[in-house]
Amino acid sequence: MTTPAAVPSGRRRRIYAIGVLSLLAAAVLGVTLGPVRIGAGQALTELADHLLPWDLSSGLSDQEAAIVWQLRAPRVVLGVLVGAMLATAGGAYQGVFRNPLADPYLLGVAAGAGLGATAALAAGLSGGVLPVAAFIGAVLAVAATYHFAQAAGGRRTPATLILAGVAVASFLTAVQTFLQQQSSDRIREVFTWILGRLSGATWSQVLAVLPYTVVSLAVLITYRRILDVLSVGEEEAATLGVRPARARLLIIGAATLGSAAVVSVSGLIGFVGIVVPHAIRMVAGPSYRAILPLSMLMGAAFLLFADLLARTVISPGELPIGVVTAFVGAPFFAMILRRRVVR
Amino acid sequence: MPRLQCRGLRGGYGPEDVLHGIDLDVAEGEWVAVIGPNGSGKSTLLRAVAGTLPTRGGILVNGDPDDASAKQRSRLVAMVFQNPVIPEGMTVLDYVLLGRTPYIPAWGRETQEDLRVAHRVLADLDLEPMVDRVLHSLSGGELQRVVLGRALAQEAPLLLLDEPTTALDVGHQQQVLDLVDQLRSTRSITVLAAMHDLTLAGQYADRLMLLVAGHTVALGSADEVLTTEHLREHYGADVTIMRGPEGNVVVVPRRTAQPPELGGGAPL
Repeated sequence: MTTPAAVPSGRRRRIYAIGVLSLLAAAVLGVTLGPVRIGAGQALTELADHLLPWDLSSGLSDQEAAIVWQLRAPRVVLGVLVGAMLATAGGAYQGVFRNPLADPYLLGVAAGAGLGATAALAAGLSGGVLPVAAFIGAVLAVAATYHFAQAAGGRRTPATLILAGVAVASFLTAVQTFLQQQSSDRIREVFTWILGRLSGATWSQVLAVLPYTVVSLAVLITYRRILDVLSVGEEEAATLGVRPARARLLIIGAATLGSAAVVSVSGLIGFVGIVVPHAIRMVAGPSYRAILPLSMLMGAAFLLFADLLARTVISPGELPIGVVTAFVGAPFFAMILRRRVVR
Repeated sequence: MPRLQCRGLRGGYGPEDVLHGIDLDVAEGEWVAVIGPNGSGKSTLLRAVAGTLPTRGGILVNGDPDDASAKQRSRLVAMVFQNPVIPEGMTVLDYVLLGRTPYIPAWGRETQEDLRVAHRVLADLDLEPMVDRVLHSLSGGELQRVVLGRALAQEAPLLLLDEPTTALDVGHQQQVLDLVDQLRSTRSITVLAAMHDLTLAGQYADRLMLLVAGHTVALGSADEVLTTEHLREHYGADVTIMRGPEGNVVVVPRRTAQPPELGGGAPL
């Protein structure tokens, strides 16, 4: 192996450019591909008609226009929010815990959301309540993890947080399984939700998660330099003027809130929070100042491409997107891992 | 006014104190070496001064009390840890720039001034040619200089060193200690260093503080502190105290076990 050197800034710019272009390409394909083929120009004109103050005519029939604006556009926007949020939160968690296996579900977000969703359906509430119940479950689970993580010395360390997260998640998963066993007739919807989905996305879902994701992403991107400082460990970071416990609480809080919000509407989409930040780290270097913004871009693009596969592979049927991210994510990850070791 | 004043300093990691009332004044530009057997509280004292441990009693740096904010404290005190965490894949320049954190708002980024300071520090440490190298590709001696560089980039008047040369060969030990010595005269940096090697401690420090079980048992020049009596009583060591060519104190442990008989067998 030759002496490793820094990632040149030119390469980093190229990666940003690739990210922007893939995101745009995936978004355009997202509104055009499907059982009903619609030309890119017409679809974009239709979107512009809705978004811009001018009256534009796309030449699409009412039905086609509705497909673009009511079905595909919210699905693409929701995919962008979910992918960007999960990948950025995953990168932030890996930084704050200095643990490459950390993902947005580490502290109980997934287990809490799963239990919330299951409990709502088992209680006979309508499917519309599911996102709210999942969100509340996720936030309560992480709050419980934080509460139990106080170690004997009265301090929370990353290690005690992870252990508390494991305990809370196991407990909540057990309760969730029990509830599912008790009300097996109503749980089909829970399974659909657990496997993840962007189908059925609506503008109201987009608007519901938008404030959380915008605030969360803004906080994480703003504090990305602090993640670099935390990479020298909590004690050394403290001598550099950072308050590690406070920084950690802020970063975990932002990542959790954003993840809980997107999970509540999209279900448990795995792999994005692990694969995307690691792939970025391998090509753009270990600094979170590059990893977080690039994860945001690439996470959005990755999820849109996964969704394109999910809805075209067995068209007119659809695969659960969580299955696609796993099937695409795992080999892709194995490939870059191998390439890196060989190099 | 002394650069560092400790008054009745107590503290430790859990409910039990490790430090039992330390009083210490260190003047501007002075180098005080903290010596003592393993577990005597040397690192704890440095951590207390750095502000990473809860303490009771007073610590004043430049007359500022220790209730200053973490950021203010990090502009006054910089610390080189004994086993620093080396972030994987980080470059020399990025690592040294972390030392500028006390001057950068949480949401901010490095300014031209921060870059200027980092490059000046790297030049002082002869590290300019390796600014873009990744930390893990450096030799032990280079890495120790880079770690020192991060602390110097903090531009703090008080520098704490925890066993700064333990892992280094004799050449690199000399290089690092000479460098610190030079910086304290050119930049009037005050140095408080925990040191294992008693001869080096006597050679470089103005005063030595012998710490035993969290108590100061001796504080003074190398001649006053490095005595056979002190070392026997507190280290349980049988040593000879000699004089080096510059009149410096040299501590040489005696070999107490009998060497085994060699070469007494049959001829080859």
